[in-house]
Amino acid sequence: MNEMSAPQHSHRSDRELVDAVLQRQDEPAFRELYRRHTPRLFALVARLVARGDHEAEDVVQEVWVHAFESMGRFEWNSAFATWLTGIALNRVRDRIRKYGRSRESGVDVLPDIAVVPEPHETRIDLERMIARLPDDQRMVFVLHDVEGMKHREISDHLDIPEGTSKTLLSTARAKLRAMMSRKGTKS
Amino acid sequence: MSDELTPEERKALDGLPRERMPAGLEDRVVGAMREHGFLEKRRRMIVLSNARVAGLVAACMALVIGAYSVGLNRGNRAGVIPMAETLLREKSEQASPRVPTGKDNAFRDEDLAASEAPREDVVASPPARQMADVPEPAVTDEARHDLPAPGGYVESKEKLEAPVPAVSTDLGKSAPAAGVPALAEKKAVPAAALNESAARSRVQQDLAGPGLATLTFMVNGSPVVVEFPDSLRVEQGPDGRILLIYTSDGVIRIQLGDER
Repeated sequence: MNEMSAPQHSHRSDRELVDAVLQRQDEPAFRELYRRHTPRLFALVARLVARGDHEAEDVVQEVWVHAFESMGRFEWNSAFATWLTGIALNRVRDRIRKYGRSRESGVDVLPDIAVVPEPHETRIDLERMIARLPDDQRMVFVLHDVEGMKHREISDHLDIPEGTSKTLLSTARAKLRAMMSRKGTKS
Repeated sequence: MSDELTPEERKALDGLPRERMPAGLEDRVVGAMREHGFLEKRRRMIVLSNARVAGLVAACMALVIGAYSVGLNRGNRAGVIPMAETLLREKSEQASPRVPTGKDNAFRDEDLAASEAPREDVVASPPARQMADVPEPAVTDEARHDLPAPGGYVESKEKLEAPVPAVSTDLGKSAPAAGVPALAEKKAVPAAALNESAARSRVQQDLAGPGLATLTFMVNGSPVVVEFPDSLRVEQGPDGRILLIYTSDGVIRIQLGDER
């Protein structure tokens, strides 16, 4: 997985900023930390939840609060961004378990697309197709093919066997190809 | 079909955005962090600009003026008028000596002598000043001072001959203790142990001096003060002599006792 701790506004490290928040309740330090990690965190969560930005915002807020609630258990053996991602995955999984999918996945409801799609439109179509995958397949596909995680990491984060992760990924790719094929036929 | 991604598929997936910054979420998250105690509570900073200072001063002035107005209004209603009445009463008591009676043990001769002496410190009311310049008239039983016009006199006489329903016996109940001044406005006094000669001399004093503003009697040991009488008259009634006090509000009729 890509590391996400590149400083944007100051030379202070994630740990220095976290310490400033914990020791002095330093709001500017937290805002810097937030701006450093939230864009990638939000993109991941929104893609995993696939229910609109509003729910993704709720999850991101829960992630930040839970991160500082459990900061005492974080020993800085891994990157702060990786730790945040792990919290986000747990939150997304819990939310999907709790509320389930709000709509059925399927290729039949795909919107019509342009005959010769532009790159921007292709990207939007791909996002829509990913969002229509079943929850477990979508999570594995996003983590592996978009975020670049290994099956072992996915297995750890989602608490599933590596074989299950590979199967879900294979199924997800096949469904996406079928969606793309149907789209090409329509066009 | 191979399960691996084709280069075109890989390229399409790499083109997906990896970062998105939602608008407005930062303040919401900061607020949540603050609620959970991870961030310091926001301290409200009040910046005193010129406009705010001017507004503050205007508000203070409005508050002071409003409070002053309220205080003035309450003072007029509750404090100033009663105080004025008290001062007027005290002034009247100082200006008009009391007529001693046999039951008025608290009334001392030296007080009477002092009160009968000319008082320069008392500011006489305009009618009193006018009367003070008038030569002292002779007082007889039928003497009438500053009587109303003949028509008015007839009317007053009719009033006199008419039964006086206000001849009340509650004066004794409502009258304060001996030595405490009391106002007796529009009340007729029942026949009492009032010495006619003393009353006559008292009337004479009131007419002659600045004490015309008030007329004070001692009835059963209690002072009765009539403020601003218009005129006085003594008549012979069926039961004896009657002192008539004409005021702007009516006639007060006092049955005089036997002269001793």
